[in-house]
Amino acid sequence: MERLRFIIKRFALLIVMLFGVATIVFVLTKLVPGDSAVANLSQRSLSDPKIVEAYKVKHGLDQPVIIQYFIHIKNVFKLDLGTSMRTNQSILYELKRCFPATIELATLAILLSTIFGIFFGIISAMKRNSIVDQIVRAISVLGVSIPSFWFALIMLYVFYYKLQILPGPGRLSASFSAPVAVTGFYMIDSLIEGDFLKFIDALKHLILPASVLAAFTMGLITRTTRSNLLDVMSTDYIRTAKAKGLSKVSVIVSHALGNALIPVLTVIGLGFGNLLGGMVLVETIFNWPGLGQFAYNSVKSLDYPGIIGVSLLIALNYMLINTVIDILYGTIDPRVRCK
Amino acid sequence: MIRSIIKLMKSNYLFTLGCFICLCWILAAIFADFIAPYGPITQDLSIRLNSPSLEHLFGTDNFGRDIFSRVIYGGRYSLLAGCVTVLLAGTIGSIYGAIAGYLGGVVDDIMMRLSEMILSFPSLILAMCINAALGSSLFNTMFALVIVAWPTYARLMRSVVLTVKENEYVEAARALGASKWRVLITEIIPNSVGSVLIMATTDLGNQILMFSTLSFLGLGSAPPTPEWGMMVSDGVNYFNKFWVAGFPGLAILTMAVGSNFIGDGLRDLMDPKLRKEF
Amino acid sequence: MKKKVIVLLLTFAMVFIVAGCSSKDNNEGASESVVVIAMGSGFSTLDPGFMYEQNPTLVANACYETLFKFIDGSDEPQTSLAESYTFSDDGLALTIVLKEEATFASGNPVTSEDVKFSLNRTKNLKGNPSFIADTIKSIECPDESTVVINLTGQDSAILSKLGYASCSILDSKVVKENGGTDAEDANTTDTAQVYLDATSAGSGMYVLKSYTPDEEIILEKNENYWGTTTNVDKYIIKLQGDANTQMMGLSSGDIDIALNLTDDTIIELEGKENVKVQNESTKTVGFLMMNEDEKIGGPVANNKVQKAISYAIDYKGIQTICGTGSITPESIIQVGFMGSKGEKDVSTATDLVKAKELLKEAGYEDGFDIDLEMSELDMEGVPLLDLAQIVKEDLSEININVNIVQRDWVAGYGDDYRDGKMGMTIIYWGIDYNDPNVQLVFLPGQQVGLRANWKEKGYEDITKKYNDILAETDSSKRSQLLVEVQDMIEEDSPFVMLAQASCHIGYNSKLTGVNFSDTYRVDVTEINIQ
Repeated sequence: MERLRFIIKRFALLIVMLFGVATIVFVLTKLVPGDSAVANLSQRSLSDPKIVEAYKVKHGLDQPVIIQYFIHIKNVFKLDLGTSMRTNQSILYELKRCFPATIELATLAILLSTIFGIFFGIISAMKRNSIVDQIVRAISVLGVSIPSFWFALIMLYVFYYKLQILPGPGRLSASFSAPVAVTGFYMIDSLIEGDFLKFIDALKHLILPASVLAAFTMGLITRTTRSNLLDVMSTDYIRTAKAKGLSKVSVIVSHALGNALIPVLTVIGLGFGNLLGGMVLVETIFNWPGLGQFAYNSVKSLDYPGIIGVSLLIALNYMLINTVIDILYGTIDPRVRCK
Repeated sequence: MIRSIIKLMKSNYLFTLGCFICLCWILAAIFADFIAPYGPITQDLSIRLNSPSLEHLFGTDNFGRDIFSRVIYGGRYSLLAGCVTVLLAGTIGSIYGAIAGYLGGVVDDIMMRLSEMILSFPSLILAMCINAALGSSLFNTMFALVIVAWPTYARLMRSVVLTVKENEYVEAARALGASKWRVLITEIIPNSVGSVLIMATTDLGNQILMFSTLSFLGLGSAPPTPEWGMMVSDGVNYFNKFWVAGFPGLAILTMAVGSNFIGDGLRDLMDPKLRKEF
Repeated sequence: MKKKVIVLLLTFAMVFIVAGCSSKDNNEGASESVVVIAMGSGFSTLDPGFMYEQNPTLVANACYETLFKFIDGSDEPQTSLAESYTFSDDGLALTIVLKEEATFASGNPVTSEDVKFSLNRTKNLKGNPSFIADTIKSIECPDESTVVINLTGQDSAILSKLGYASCSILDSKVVKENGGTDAEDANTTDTAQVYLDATSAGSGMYVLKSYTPDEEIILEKNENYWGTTTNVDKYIIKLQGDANTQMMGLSSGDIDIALNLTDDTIIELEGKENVKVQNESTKTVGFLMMNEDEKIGGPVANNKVQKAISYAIDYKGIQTICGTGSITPESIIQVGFMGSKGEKDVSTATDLVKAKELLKEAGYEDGFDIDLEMSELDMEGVPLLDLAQIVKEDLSEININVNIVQRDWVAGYGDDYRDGKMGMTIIYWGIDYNDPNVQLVFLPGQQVGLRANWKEKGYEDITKKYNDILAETDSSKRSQLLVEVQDMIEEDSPFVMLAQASCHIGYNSKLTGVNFSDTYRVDVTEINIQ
């Protein structure tokens, strides 16, 4: 009963916070001194008051700001995010189009960073203060410090331009056309189509951007795994296990790892949320038609239904992950539940 | 304190390396006028996009400017932006977090939800919006960075304050009749500030990264200012000329790595648990 | 952990096997002749009624036809869907007879009603290209194949305008069925854009098969095409504007035509046998604008200072940044249009001594500080900020200290530019329809002139000349008038033309007929595979 109330409370809060996010974005976009008519009309049309007026009427920009706000909030609750001023398509349609591309990329990135992060973390903790530890720590610091936009350029330079072993920007090579959208994930859709070569091509295109994205989260996961493992290993219960004469490796695998990985779960979850937000640069450089690129284009053209839509989606994702982690924590760790 | 840092430098090579890197950049930024062989914005279209050579260590860019000189000068902007952001965000965030944690209850709830709202926001998009609203300049970019960065400090400070609050000496001070605010200022904040400082060192690297990211996206000073991020973005169009983007990016990387090494070292020093051997 | 990895590997292996089995019967495209084009994105619709960017005109030209068309890079419009045309004596009515044999991809014949519908829709949508129909007062359809276009005034550019992508003739029956309307209130009631973004409704050689924004456009041959066709069955247009990617794709053979190469990437393609390149100057022109209002422009409102600045700029340097093929026009009409005053001689155009003299005469011997407000836009791939940096360096030679101020186009820059509140800036102007009359916006009292606060007052003789040009339908006479009007503004113009951007295209040498065109990027209806 207590837990159910906790969960309901968290979700109620989530809605309130989404409302707050929508408000913040709305205010921000309205603070910009220009208006989106300028962004979406041509140089010539701008001088024609008739056209500017028609544009404003079409997108509801002729209403007072406060009315615009209420209309907008009302629509958000009706799950109608409006029409993009840039593309004239509904925002829901645009998000649906961009979301799979981003998720496909983010999933691979998280997979890469989790595998390498945990692996490095364990090695580092086991060989604490050895030269291996130092190297791994240096790598993890490198991972969180590397500017992704630069890393992306370097990767493209080396693997695409110099060595020519991996493809460049885009989701597919020019010789393939996009698979019929079923899920929106090219890797899955190409398999549904039964085109194995296309599948391989899509996978190859994912490798570079996913590695670039993975670097940061991998660094975080390595760090967290290492420090938590060290923490856990200094507890009495592990000492006992060690005293019983078990080998270091078996202590870590059978006793310590499980406990140490709980906080790592948080990092992975948050990392996933962060990835969605951090897509802007990588997607722009890799010409990846996902949420990041959509967000970037929306901001550039002050398409405020677009900005709000994408921000809400990303914030919702982040909060959902957060909430789920909180609830999970309560399940896994009874101490949290008591509080 | 100083003695333990020296000890740390002897035992933790990465920490020493970090100190060395950061020191180098600070010196380079201060003495840029003497180190840089050319002016940062001097153009010479006859030597556009030349590869690195003895005259131009890092090669030249699209306008025939010496990239080495630009990188040296560029350190000024990155360091300035990083330090100012960390200082402001750290101060604002810490005070906010301390108040929330110390008062607790409904106030705490509301204050923390507010900061979570900003945290849940994709930071780059938020910064881009702020920049669009205010116009791009060095100052506005730093402002955007502070807005995005402070909630992290608030969160940390709050959790530290929550622990410190329970300590005996705080109880003691309160029992002696010190007022609420007095306890906060004299007892709790001084005892919580250590962890914020450690975070700030690491965060310096992050902020320099974030600053160069914004500058990469064209949200910073106007060209021809030699900002590292902007220099990397110049290189996007010339990615077969690796030196145009390569060296400025390397500068960002080393700066961020350096401050992260320092932060890590300090954390090890302050965290007694980690000092124990397995 | 280990278990998880094994499970993961197994899953992957299974997926591979399943996929491997089913991929055998896939060899689509082997018998078709497909051409892959890579071009920049940055547009949002393929509906001719809203189209104004330059890249999608390539698609419009493939899927739709216009009454008149520019063939082989000529700047004189030729008849396309029109069979013949006559102007009334007063020049206020244009009667067009349509080609009888022309049909739409749906099989419907092209009738005068379709022309009326299409032009009215473009006008009433009140979108970006609606200005094109500004001089059209009304359209009458006396019979199936005759259209009478009544004009609000004489318009010597009307034929060129009718060749503009937005004047594409749509299949009115099909478009109406899908929410299209040409009524006065079309800007709120027309809902056909969604349909026209997914497929086309024209009479062109190709039909739009699919459009995925920011990704690709697929065109397939129109089976019912009424004219003669080329041997290309299908175009895949990749929306990938990055020059390096295009270069890599072109040299590996993945891409057949690359439209956004740069000087730098062209160098990499040199010596490749399967690739041909073209460096052409476009009619998109970058210019420096100085405000005539002293309250806004400050020192640059002074005519002598403006002249001094035009002598101080190193046009060679500007052209270097814009790339091979870029040229600087002598005056407001670009090289390539009739009536142009030709190319500026860059070896003599820069004269610092004269510039300093002029500054002295204007009373600014010691120079001054000035803000150069810039947006983030680029002109055919060249950031305008790059041009600003060259200008800054050049003007420092005559002691003018330029301070570049950066503002986003949307965040106030665009508004201020339109409203003439910008002191000094560098911006570009791309032609919309292919006619030198487009450039008359740079005259005092006209659209771009007003952005520099260059008002009509005091220049009534120029306005008179302007009206003469609009009324003159004889090409050689109009050409003469255009030169004259440029001579008249020579001394006073607050605009300094910096350069016509260059366009670098590369294509696989198996193709013939690939030529850069200002109106269509490349005319895909002229391309054949050898």
